[in-house]
Amino acid sequence: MTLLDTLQTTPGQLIPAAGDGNTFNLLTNSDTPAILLDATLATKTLLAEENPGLLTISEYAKFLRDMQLKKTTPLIADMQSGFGNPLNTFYAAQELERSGGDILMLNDQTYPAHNLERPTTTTPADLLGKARAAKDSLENPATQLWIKLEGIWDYGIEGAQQRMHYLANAGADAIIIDHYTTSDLQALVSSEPELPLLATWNPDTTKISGIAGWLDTGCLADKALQAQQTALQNLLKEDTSYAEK
Amino acid sequence: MLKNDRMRHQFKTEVMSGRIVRMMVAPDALAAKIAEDSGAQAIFSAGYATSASTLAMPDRGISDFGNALNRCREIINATNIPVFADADTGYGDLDNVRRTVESYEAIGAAGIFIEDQVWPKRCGHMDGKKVEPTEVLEAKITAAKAARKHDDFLIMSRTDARAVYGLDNAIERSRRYKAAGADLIFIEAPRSIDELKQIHEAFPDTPLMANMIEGGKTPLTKSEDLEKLGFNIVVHPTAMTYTQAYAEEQLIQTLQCEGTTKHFEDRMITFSKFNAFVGLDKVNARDAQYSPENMAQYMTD
Repeated sequence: MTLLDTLQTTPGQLIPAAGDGNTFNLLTNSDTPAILLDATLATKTLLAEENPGLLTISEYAKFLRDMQLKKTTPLIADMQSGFGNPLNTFYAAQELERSGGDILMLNDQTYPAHNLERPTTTTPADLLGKARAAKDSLENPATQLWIKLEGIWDYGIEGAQQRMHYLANAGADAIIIDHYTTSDLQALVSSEPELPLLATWNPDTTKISGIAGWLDTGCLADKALQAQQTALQNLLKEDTSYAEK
Repeated sequence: MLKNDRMRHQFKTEVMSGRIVRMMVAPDALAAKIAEDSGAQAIFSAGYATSASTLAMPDRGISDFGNALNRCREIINATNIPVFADADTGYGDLDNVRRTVESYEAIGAAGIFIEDQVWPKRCGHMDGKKVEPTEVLEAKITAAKAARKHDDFLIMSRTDARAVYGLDNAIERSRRYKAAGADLIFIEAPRSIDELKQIHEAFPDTPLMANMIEGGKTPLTKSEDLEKLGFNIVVHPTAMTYTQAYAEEQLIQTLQCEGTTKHFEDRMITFSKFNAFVGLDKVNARDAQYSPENMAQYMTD
């Protein structure tokens, strides 16, 4: 049973994101339908940087291989914008499948991808080239390709609908919508898309029906960071009062 | 059947066939591709060659699990024949053995051997080796068998006790390793044809590996003769590394002496042949396949 089958049976489930081993372990011991190994979170862990465009495919794939040994649920690999052109995407997809990705998530940003509110997106033809290249590189028929559309702010609902249709023609398995408003999402759901529709999620997101699943964008990592900041403040306070004594 | 499953099954079938399997040790992915293209049945990703090619260091336990795993993975991804792996001592205790097995199985290796040397280990044909008590590798073999997910992922025991305590001790240890679950047996560095015969007599029904190292302790023996002696796998661990090093040394000496590689060209593969060998045409065709013009077929209502 694929993750999409699971989400069809119980739609609207949250898929949490991990970017470090502790969170990954926590999630593998929890009842989650899948885990997203998020590239931005992984970049923070591996490079101490915020920009996922700095993370190379070989660095990310090594991390994915280490994490996949622990997986107990499907693992979503973050292929970003394919690490170059469609040729690069072919080899990136091959590498991520070999490294344990059950679902490969490709976004429609230009290369290198960034973690921005309004990222620059590529042309439909380039996106289709990447999608086809990724599909053609896969060995296991069960491995899926999900496409994350990040440019509604730029190409609008009609542009998103057009991309979704083209991607269905090209063999993508599902669409994820990012950087949207609730009305954007409602408009896309009511247009009865050909492919299962998912959307990114944060604690402020208003969930609507018709969405197969919600992809966390790093809620656990944010909470962990807040807790670490509090702990650090307490540690420094204790250290200061000990020194004063 | 997916490639990893297919390669494991193919290797096991070949090893159990009664015909000897010739395994070349490849120092890197390019060498492995050359070996495959030239008819090798399987590749062995082994410590001596990996230490040399990644660190330019001897096989003395400096190259670690990470180096070995990554090199093996590169070789697996570059070829379409089974790749067996040298897992040294398992890189620590039983927890390390578990991770070693899980990792090699996940990247698609056909199996691994684990040995009873004390870490940091030495190449099996070097002097000064020390071995652990037999119980140590027995426990590691048991742990390795428990960690593997596929029965086709073969676990070989290797003992280096011949150099330390003699052949009888090496055979006795290997009996215990087999009882602990080893699928294949490797007694490192026997010193004569007679010793090779004794090993087969001790394990008439268990697949055995022989190691043919130029300048090593075991007499260089033809594969067909090893097959007649009852061995199922023969491995050539240093030949490609030594040939590569020799050729490169000759090249650099020529260049230093003559200031040009012109008189060395007849000992090189040509630009066009090499590009063809590594698949340039295929990559270029793939690049063109996904051009915007070719994607118009999907941009329809």
